Amino acid sequence: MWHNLRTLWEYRYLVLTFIERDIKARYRQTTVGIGWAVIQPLLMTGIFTIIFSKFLHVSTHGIPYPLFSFIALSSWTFLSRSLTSGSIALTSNQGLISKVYFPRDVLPIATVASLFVDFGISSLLIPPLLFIYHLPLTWHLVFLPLVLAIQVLLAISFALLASSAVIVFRDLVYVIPFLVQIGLYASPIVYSVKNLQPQYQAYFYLNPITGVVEGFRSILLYQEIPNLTYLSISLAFALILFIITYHGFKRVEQYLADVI
Amino acid sequence: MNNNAVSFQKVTKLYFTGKRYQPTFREWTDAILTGKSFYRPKAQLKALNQISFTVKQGSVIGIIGSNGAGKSTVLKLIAKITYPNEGLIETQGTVAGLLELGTGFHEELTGSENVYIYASILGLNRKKIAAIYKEIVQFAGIEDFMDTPVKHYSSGMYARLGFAVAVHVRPNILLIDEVLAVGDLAFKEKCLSFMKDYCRHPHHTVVFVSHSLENVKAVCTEVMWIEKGKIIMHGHPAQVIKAYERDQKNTPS
Repeated sequence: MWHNLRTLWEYRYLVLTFIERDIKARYRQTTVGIGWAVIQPLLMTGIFTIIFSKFLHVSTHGIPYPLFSFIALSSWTFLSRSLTSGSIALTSNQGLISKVYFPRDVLPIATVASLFVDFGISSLLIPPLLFIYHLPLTWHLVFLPLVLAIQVLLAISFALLASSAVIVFRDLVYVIPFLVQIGLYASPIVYSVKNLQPQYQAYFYLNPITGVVEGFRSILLYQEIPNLTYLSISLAFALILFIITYHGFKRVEQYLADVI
Repeated sequence: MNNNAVSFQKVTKLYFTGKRYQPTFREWTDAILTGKSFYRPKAQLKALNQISFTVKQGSVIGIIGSNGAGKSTVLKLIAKITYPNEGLIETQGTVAGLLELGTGFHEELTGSENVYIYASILGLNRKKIAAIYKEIVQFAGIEDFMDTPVKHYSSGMYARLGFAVAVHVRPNILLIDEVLAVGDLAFKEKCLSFMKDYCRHPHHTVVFVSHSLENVKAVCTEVMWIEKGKIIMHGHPAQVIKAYERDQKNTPS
């Protein structure tokens, strides 16, 4: 594993190149360009605010609903697209894979990295939003890198898993978007775990996304230390998933050019 | 000291044939858990059958043979794009090359953007690419089109740019698979003389697959003829080509 990770490090420039290529190609012929990275989560936030706040009166413990859902949606968009875009990271680069050598893990990792750029751009809206709603930034921000790191590790594991699983079982390309739909409601994006009856809350934290999303909310909205037990569950999940999927990916990689 | 650039020892490569050319779910789980190649007796084609050969550093080896003989499979194995079912392959130093025109090129992006992309796929970092960029453009001879998206390129321009990038990466082992066919005569000459010069360097080797016996004769220091996954002959270019030509005349196509 260390050997493979070192090879990957040697190819870090290729990751950069793929990120650039992805982003350039994604936005080149559009008028709004990279602005779409901001518009998409904003629109989602608008829709969710109307449905869940105005009509369904979901409780946010005093936090303005747009802010409450925007923070979760940025994170959710990043994680769920790691699964959906990750699932085609290998199959959409068929030509390259069958004609040139390079460590194939570069592809899903570059996918995650370019999604992280989008995540970063949409996150630029968070400080002004906090300011508008008079929410202070406090020392709790020191926990932010930890939550971010867990989120990225989780996203990489998702992308490695989805990209290689699709090679083994092509039907997953159609199954994954469906699973993502379910995931949106199984994770506390439009609601907070705190709204649920206490006896069910623990089950929600078995979902690794919960720790991350609620972690962001604790730090930015409630100015409190994120629940470290739940964060540890997310971290352990992400680490174990990464180790397993990375090994699996490296096995699948050997046969890739022959079956893709 | 061992000065073999490439060595194959009893290498076998199998491909699935027939309708079910994809491995089944069961075959996948076996392969992933054990790390061994797919095995399906009788339904696999032997693209390469127990072949062994070595190529010394500093040589230009030409590989010839009919369609489907296994020539491109040899290149893919050297490049580590695919792995053998049995046998051992050893290579010295870096490997890069051009297995197909336009590999790694993104249609929407410009010529110069694509130079950076393709060169970094071949393992170079930005600084190194910037240093050789001028040479690449000059070699390709398409200075005026570097800011045009490559989807507007002619196939000749594609070939020129692709070849120029691949050779300027300066790998220890350079692989060229039948890509000179679309270039014009002047460019072809340029490439052939480049390949000849390339091997003056003691640690450079070229593996050249072609159907043009003329080109093979012009640059290669040795030639290997393979048919149906087996080596028929490996040796002096003139002798191997002569035998190959005689055989081609005798077999009705």
